[in-house]
Amino acid sequence: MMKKREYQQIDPQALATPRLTPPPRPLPEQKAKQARRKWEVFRGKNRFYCDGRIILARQSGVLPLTLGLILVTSGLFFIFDCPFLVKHLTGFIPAIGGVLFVFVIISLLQTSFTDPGILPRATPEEAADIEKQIENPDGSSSSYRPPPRTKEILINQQVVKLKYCFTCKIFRPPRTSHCSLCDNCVERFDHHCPWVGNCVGKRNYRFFYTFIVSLSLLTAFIFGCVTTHLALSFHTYLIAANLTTNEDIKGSFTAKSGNEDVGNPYSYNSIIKNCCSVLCGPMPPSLIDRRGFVPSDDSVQTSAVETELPAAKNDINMCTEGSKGLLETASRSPLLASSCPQAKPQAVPSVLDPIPEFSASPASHPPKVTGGRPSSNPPHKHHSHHRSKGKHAISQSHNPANKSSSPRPLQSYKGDKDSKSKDVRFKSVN
Amino acid sequence: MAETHSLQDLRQAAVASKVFVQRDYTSGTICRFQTKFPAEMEGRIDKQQFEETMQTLNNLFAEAEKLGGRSYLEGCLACLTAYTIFLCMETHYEKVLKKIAKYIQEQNEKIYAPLGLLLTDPIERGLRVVSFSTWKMEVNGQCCWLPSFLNIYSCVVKSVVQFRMKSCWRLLFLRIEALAQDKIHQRVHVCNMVGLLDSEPASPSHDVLTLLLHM
Repeated sequence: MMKKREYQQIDPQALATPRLTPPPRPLPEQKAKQARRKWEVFRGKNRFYCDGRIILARQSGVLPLTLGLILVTSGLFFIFDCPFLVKHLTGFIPAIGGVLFVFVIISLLQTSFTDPGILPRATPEEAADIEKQIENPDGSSSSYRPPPRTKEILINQQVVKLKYCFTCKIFRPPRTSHCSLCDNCVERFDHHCPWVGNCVGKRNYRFFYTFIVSLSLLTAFIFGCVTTHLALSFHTYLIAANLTTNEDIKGSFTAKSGNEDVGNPYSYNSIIKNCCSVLCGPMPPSLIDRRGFVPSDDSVQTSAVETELPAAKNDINMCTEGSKGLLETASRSPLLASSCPQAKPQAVPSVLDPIPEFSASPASHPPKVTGGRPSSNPPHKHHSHHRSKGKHAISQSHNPANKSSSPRPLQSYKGDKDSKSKDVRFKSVN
Repeated sequence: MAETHSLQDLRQAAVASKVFVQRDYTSGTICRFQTKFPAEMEGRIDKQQFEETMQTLNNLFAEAEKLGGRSYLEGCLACLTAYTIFLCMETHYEKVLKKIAKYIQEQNEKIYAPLGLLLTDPIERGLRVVSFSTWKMEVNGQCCWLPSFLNIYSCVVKSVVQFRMKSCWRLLFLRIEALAQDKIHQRVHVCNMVGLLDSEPASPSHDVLTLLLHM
């Protein structure tokens, strides 16, 4: 199929000459060539789509990943986050997000699909002309060594070296570099970006810049919206109900906990009043006098005792949260080994000594869970879930001091055991 | 001397030859071509004519790449539309390139084709070179350029027809009226020269000029 050719009559005099009978017919091989487009014979390692309108690097496998990540993230945002924000905040949220998203996608596709500024390779004649220049720039063709393939030129009074590109058969213009992945010389070559699946150069650098700027804006926007969503949905609800996160998670005042009539006793039963009290109530003063002076030394001893108290409390609080880690430290500690029959005998008494004392203490607080042996199971309900994990670990797990300081097992053991009996024990220590 | 040769001899060897004018980078990467008259062009074209053409081309490219209110406006507008405006709008550069193409065609018609030369638009060579193509012909063992040939045989290019086949390659059809007076036959030869200039780089054979002679 022969394409209709554009005909350009150059000289109007041609009409006046009747002797021009046979118009020049293209040769058969030329006819076949007509149908082909230049991209079909393009010699770089590129892929072309849409009849040459779209150009991509050959390895552009990361581009779908980039697109997928952007689409999934934005999709999740628009599906799950936007409806809430529109309802509670403003309808501008999806509008702004949408504009940013469109910007990101368009600029990404433009970066990927445009020609980055590829220099076409030299035609044979041009290459031959350059070769001729290289071979004998001043007539000295007798030299055996291959001539240097660089050319020095002056740009704004500065010497710049131009390298000869053996693939493209040209002296690379200034700022041009050959991309090995695409096998092309690219003008004002920035880098080959696998994420966009194309080189970034003279022609698509602005698209690339728009892409990264809009992408970072979109990311920040989505992040901000998600954070706002969290703040709005959760903490606004908490403020309105005059609840704390702790109470909400524990479900302290919900009907679930058993009795129906339980409500939040701290609520003012008015959203506005709750908000005002939480956010605009009087700012409470600091209760710990941090910069005050310690009184004279007769009270030092009492203060020393009192310092143990918060420590003990902390240990108990940690039991529920950090028990796993503590179990591990306990299992690594030599104390565990000492309770085994093969262990060194001298460690045994110091560790096991307190146990009889504690085995008696649960008498005042009968353990809720049945079947627990008193020697290994402390009575505090926080500890009850450890039972299945081995008694040795439990009995020593809560005290990091046990690991290193075997001479003081009693005190520390007391400290972390039963919070309810701690007053009694501290009395005994003192 | 010239009269003894038949124009038929020309059929044998006619090779396209090109003179390349390289880029001038002295003022940066803006598109500028050297205005120095190449030695190979000596005798084929007037030096002044050449310089004028190159200067005009340089001015046109300078206009295309000029930084100014217009280009900034275009850039900002494009940026605001995420560069989608480029899909439906012709950029300033493209407009100037059209102007350049028109100028080159005009120059070819008026000046270069009658001299047996063809100026190639630099955009077809990656803005690297401006090439002046002509044919080197062998007439009875003697090499000569088409301009010289026209001179020797006192031929006049009566018409130039340029075909552009889907912009892949170009066919230059020269109708040369040989005004050479054949002393014996007293006939005017008309030779139609069909040449392929600026063909696909993959097929250098296209550069061979085919001569169709009609006596």
